[in-house]
Amino acid sequence: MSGDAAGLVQLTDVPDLGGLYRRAIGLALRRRVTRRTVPPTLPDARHGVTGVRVDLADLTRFQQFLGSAVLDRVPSAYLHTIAFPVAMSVLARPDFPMPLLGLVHLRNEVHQDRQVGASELLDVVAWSEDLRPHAAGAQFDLVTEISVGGHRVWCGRSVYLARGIRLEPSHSRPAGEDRPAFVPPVRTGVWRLDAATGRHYAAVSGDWNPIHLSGPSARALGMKGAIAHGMYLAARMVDEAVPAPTGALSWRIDFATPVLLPGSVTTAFLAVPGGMDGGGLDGGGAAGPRTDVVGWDAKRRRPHFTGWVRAE
Amino acid sequence: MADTYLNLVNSPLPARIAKALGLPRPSVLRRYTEGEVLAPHPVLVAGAGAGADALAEVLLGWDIEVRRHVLPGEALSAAVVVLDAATEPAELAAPMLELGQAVRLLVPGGRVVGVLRSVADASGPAEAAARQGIDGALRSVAHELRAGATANGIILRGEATTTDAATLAALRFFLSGRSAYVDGQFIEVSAVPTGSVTDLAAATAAAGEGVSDQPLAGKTAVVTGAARGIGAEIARVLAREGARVVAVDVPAAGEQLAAVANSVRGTALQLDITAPEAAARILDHVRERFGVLDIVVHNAGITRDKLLANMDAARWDSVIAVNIASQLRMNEQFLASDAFSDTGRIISLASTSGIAGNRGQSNYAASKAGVIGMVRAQAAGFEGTGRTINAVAPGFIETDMTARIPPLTRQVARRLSSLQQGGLPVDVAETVAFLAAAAAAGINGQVVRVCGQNLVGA
Amino acid sequence: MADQAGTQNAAPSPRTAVVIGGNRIPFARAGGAYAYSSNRDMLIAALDGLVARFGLQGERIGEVAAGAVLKHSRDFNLTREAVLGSALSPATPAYDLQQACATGLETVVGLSNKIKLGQIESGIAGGVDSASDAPIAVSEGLRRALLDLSRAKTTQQKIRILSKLRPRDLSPNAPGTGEPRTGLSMGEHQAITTAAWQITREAQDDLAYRSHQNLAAAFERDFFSDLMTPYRGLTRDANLRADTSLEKLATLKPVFGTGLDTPATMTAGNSTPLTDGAAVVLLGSEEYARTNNLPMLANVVDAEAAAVDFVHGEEGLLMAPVHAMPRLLERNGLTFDDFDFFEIHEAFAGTVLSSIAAWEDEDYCTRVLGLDGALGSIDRSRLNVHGSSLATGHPFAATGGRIVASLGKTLSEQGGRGLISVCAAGGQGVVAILEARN
Repeated sequence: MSGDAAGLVQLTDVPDLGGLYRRAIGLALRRRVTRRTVPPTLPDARHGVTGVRVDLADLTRFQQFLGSAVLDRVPSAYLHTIAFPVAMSVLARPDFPMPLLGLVHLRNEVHQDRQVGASELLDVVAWSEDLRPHAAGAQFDLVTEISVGGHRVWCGRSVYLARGIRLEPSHSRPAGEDRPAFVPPVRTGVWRLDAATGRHYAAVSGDWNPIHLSGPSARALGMKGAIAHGMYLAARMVDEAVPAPTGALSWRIDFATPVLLPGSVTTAFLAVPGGMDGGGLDGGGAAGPRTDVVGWDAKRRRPHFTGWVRAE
Repeated sequence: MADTYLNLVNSPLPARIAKALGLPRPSVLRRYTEGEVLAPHPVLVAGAGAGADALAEVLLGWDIEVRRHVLPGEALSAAVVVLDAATEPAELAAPMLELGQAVRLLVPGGRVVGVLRSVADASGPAEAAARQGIDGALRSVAHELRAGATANGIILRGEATTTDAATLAALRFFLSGRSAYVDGQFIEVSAVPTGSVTDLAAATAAAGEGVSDQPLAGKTAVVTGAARGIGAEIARVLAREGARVVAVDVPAAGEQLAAVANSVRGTALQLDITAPEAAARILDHVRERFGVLDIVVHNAGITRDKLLANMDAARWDSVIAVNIASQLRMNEQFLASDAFSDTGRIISLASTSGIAGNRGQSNYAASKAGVIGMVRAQAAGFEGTGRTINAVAPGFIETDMTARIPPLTRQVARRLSSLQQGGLPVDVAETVAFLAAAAAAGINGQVVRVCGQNLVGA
Repeated sequence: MADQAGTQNAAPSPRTAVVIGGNRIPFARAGGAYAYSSNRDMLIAALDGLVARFGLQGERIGEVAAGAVLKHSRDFNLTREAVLGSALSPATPAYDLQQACATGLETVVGLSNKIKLGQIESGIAGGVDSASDAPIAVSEGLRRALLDLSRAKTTQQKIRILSKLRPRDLSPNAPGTGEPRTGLSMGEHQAITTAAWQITREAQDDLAYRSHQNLAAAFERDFFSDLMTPYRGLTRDANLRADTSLEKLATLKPVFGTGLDTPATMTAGNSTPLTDGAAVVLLGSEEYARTNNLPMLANVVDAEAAAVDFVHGEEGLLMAPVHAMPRLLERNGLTFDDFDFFEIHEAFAGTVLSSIAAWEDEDYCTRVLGLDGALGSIDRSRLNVHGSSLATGHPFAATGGRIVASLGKTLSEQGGRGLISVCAAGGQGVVAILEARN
């Protein structure tokens, strides 16, 4: 690890997620006994790794598990997976004010300028920003950029919630919104997820967060049971909405309630004619027709996620 | 269906036991196989007169060694007794006694064929007595013959001669293994108007040379009830003889029907022959695919046995509808159609039950006797044309139908014939094919029994 | 019908392809009479019946095209293997085709095109499917392990591969009826469409009832005597319920669409059951038919395939024929009024009724199909006059052959023009025009 003037911490290699989680568990235990209120600042540090290679065998396993075509085109969600440990290492910094474990993944938004080939060397940089209050605690963005040869090709912004964390008084806590009752759209499909879905996705993504692996390990961390990876849902959503992207691709997913495993997610994919403004927070991305996606629990009539995918 | 007793007594030890016990000793019959030699041993042509001489000449032309008298100790394939010139009973002695010598020398599967003139044409009582006498004598000989040998007769009507195409066709049939289960039968042969039998057929029949392997080549034959049993075998034999076969059976039998049609390279036509449009559909099919209908074999038949006292209308009606009413209706439509050949052949399956009756088969016998009546009446209508209609009356034939007879009854039924066994479907089929040939133009209105000279009935 | 309606927009065909005849085996319910017959067995039976009907024994047919939707990997050359097992000449080439439920119709289209182009003189098109003898796959884990094992060289490698196997890997995967991309079964998909078009339970039951009535009547008058060859003791379609009634159909419980907000209307009575069967059609050029004195039942005029995006909810899974139809009609300068017989495959009663409703809907036709107005109405008395899949059953790939042969015979008997519409999994559909020759 080495630092420079702009606060960039250059990692020599993509960190091992397992190690990060172990470190996070240790931090969590220490913090539990120390503080409940955090300073309203995030570390300035940006963590980066250069020259990351996509392992073809890993990529193949990921593509096969998602049911997407095994091609040299790297799925948008897999780029997130590759960069994820770098982003995690930001959260695992000792000076990061919130516990990594127990963070709730609220949203992901990705803008990708072009498709990325499996043989390309990727430079990854990640940082956190915009710590702000949330009705249930505090939220912040974790931003990840992937570049090839100095040009940014992929930018992802994940929004995390730290439950029960109260920011210091300078931040006023927004009131909880009155959410309108969920009205399920006409379904177009269903995902049937077996109990091993979390373990399988962990195996192909490297994200061994215990809340996804088994009932006991998830319950130990306060979950009702094992839940599906948010990025698994996102990966399926993106792949099914645009199975064969050729150029720019943008997408966003907002997580509402976790998907307990085993379980079914009823889905609705709806191509929106003409398309609408998809956000484009960080510029770039796609401006083509949009597909809106909703995933929900048909029995409880509760949404699991909503999202959209836009391809050029 | 296999006749295990027949197989048993044709193996060495059981054969000796059967002989010692005086049990029936049926022989394995000599049946037609491809490349059959009509007579590997000499053939006796007994009888005096121009007819006998001319016939002997023809046989020589067939590459047969002909003997005009028995040579002591020389095995004979067949004995042909030509009695067409007999005018009174006394004239029978010499040829019959000569035949008696010949019978001793017949090889297994040997043949006795008598050639005589019709009683109906006799000039007076003496001639009629002589001719009728021959009938009785030959039938008796048939009973006496052993080892699969048979005796049959050819009756010349009117101007028919011993060397007419039809006479020779009948003679070849009787000499051949094709007639294996035809025994004690008489076939009447008439002179036919020229043109009704093709020159080629007449010439080849007379010369015996180049007799076509496929006498039915180019002919289209319709066989009803062709999905199984005798009908399937008729389809096979007609196809072997060169005919294009239209195999007909009810839709429900379609799977077997297709198999039969495919094995004979024919076509399958699924229809119910009792339907009013049955003949029209057959004619449409034949007209479209082959142009002309040459041969019709009314084989389809059913049994619904019951003692008359227990008979119901359904049983009676269905048997009459399938076995005779359908044939009458179809024949009427065939004859009215320009698609039916000028030298067309109709062959109807009768039954020995229709001749002699059978317990529990009053309905069946009525239908089959009806067939005989129909054939004789229609034959009169065909006289002077190139068309013929004949009936073939099977006796006990080993089929799915007879396999349903209780075992003991079945065994007894088998042994009741002179050949002491049941016939095979192929025996019926060979007889049908013989009647279907162009050379058989002079054979019309006959009822040929394929029964091994069954004791039941006449 | 309008005689002047011509084919002005279609490219002129160099030659005419004609339907000569057909053959199928009666369709059996899954697990019934054909429970132990494979796709190959049934296809051979159908071919042999056709060969017997037309005397094609030992004949070299230009090409045989057929397929199956549920297919064993060992049947990679299913049609060729069936030809070799049939009475046809072993010199007859064959190829397999698969377009889900449109397989059978697509083989007719493909071979007709070859005939029109002069590439072949004769062809046999068809299909077969067995829901009873369906392939069962091993689990993905076991499959990959077995494949790796076959590539392993050392014992250690083999042990390592086997040690990765888990008990759950040993349970087999039965073939799913669900659409791979949506996870919904075809019935669940149709339920969405049926609800969207507000097709009532009564209308669906009525269509099913008519299908059974029409099929029963066709059997009663021996319509199938030259279209069908019995197989394994079955002489009629086992699914046929000649004695069914609207009252009986009304008692059945809905099986699809029960999770929707709208009332569920699709029952086992107005949906096709899983079925086993095979059907083939003999096609030829006019010259072939004439030379061989074969009948010519009808001309294969034209066909159109379409596909819709059901994955993204743009259209119902089985609505592709709705899109294909106006394109086909426009190219041939025809309207529904120019047709005397309509054969709309009854995957579900709701499919037929949704399609008809869509063609009658002006808003839908202008907005979605891009037409000037509604495409038109279909005279119900001319629809599926000899019954369709609800009564016969629907062995997926066999349905096209069944329809083409039956319609060909109908046209040869009654004249006129016939329109075929077959929907298929994957959001596909094929529509075709047959025409009487007189």
